[in-house]
Amino acid sequence: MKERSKLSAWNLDCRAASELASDSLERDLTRGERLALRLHQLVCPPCRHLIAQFQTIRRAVASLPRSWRRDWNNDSVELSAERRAAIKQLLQEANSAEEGK
Amino acid sequence: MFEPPPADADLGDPAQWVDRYGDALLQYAVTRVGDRETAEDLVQETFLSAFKARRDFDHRAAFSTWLIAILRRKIIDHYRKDARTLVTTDAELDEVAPLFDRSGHWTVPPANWRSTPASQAENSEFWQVVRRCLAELPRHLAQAFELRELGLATVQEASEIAGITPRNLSVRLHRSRLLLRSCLEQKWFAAEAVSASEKSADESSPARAEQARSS
Repeated sequence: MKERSKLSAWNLDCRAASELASDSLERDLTRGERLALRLHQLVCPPCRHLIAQFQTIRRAVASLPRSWRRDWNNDSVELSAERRAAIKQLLQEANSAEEGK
Repeated sequence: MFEPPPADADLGDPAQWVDRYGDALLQYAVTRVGDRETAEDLVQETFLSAFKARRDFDHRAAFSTWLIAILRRKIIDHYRKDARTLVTTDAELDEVAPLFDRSGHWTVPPANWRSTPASQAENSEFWQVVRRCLAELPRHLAQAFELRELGLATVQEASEIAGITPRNLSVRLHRSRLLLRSCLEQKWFAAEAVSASEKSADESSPARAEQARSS
């Protein structure tokens, strides 16, 4: 808990602020943590940008599967012919093994 | 997302499942494990497990939904196995140390990314950069990021899968986010800022050339 001992609303450094910014995506910050982060942001434009970037990444990733399907459906996300044949073969083998019982 | 499942109660010829659902399952897997070969392995295992368990399918949900549920468990198992082979040296190894100076300030301050995420998400080039940046992360950091940001696991589940405490997971998430944002800023947003300010950005533009070299 070394990092946490650095945590004070008045002397949060950028590294500690970035840890809180990341934690805020995972859990509710305590009141003290929220205050410290907010005060740090007020005086630190790069950390303001960082928080916005985390949000940008989160929103972009949340939209990934849909856009992935739309954009890459045809060229990159299809089972290869070999794999398709291999899976069918395995299923047929499993099927005839069961029927043979 | 899928064609309607076969109407007959016995689900048809299992070999036809592959043609009907294979690509959709692969898409689901590829977006979550990143690696094509692994994704195909997981899809294969899913079909075989589905075949063995087909009598458990109760027709209350769509067959496709049932297959996805099996695949999802395969993906989580995959991460769990993966975690056992990962080196867990969080304590000694500090991947983000170069991003800060000794007093804890940024060595390269994060910039203002001007474009909105919605417009980024439309762009498949952007996704290729995201994938490349994720691939460059140390595997245990990429794993933490993917488990949480792709919504595969809760904090508790993700910690269990990785075999670490929730506190350690938050350390890994912090590092993965910082490295990812730094990579995206270099490989995408910097080049984009240039092309936005000079509408006819060409090969002579330093950021474009830099992006071309690193791609």
